[in-house]
Amino acid sequence: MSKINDNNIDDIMFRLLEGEITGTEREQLLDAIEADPAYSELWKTWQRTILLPENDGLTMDTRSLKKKAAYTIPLFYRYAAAAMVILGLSFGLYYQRANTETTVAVGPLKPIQKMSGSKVPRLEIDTVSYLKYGKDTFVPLREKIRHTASVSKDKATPVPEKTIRNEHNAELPEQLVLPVELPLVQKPDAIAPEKSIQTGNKNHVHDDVYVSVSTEAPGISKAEPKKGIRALLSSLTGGPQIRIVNDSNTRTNKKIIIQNNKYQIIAGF
Amino acid sequence: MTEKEYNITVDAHGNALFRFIYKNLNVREDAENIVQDAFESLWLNKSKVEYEKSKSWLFTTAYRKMIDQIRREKKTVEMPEIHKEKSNEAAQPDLRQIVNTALGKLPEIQKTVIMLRDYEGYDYAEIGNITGLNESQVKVYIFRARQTLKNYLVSLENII
Repeated sequence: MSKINDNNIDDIMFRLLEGEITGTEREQLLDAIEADPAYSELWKTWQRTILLPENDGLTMDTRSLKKKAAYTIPLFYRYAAAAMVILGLSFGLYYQRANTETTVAVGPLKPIQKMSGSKVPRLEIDTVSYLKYGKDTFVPLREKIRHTASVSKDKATPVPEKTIRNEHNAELPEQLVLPVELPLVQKPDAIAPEKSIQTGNKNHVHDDVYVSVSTEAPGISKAEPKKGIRALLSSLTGGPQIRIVNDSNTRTNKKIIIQNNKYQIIAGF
Repeated sequence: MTEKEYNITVDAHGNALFRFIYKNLNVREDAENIVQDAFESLWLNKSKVEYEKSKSWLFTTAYRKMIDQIRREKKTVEMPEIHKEKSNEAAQPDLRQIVNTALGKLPEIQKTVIMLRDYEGYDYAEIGNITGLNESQVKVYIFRARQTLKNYLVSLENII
């Protein structure tokens, strides 16, 4: 224990006050301090340097500091939910297209060129096997083409004027009239090989008009459904595409290409 | 720290923190702003701060904000002289007012460490964490602060 003197009295009292001297040593020091009135008075003064907690009304409104957290959906779950919806829609469309047979509805044709004295060749589909499809059943285009081609092949001559019929439009108005009446759409096999043109099987129904139907459009696989990103994009972007491209072999230097993932129809005028 | 723990911290330490800052700055509005900033910061960092350390975290944050405020405004924090006049007039001056007056005369760091020590009951290490000092420095500042207070009290008693 340090002996108390005027040189160390402040240091000893500070240590006592801070609790650094405890136990019997503290009691002995306190007794020594009490024995000297000057030290006793000094010790009381040191004790007054301790700041006492005040009840002086120094408060602030802490209610505004409190928080009530709103329920929030973590960002990860939002992204996950959005991704699931997109994937679900994509795969749904993809498999729907893969499992559904492609059918094409022939709508009313608008006049492209009106020529007096000739009539529109009409496609006979009345004799398509309705035993298979029924009278009111939607007949797939492929079946129509197959039937027309077989009729054309059997007759080996241009068929007479026939009516294009479908479930939407029973009678096609006579608008596009051609001097030579040929089926507007034929199966590629029905056309003589020498009349076939490079891409697919173009059928010259007139000097200025040919129609080509191909089941193997350039760049498009017929047998297998497309896979990967292209299939996904195709599913998302929808069905048939219609394009007008330049073609120097036609009178108008234009041809129309209508295609989906199974068929391609090229018409030049 | 959960939302519930945060609100418990507000109840437990809000007023103590305000008193600590107010006694340093002596401007109620500034003290309230600093306390609000400190609690806002605690709320934003509640996922990182453990509940057991929330008080220390709050005082550290508030202290730093207070130092920034003092440096920004270059404000000299002094207790109003009004206390001195009153004490002279009173026959038996209130010891608390005298101590407050003496406290206002202390340098900023001494006042901070002695208030953390006495009002909040922190030990040297905790005060060191809050103020960025080591334990020896904290002890020295507390000793100097108490010695200044003691000398002021002794001189005042001699006058009376």
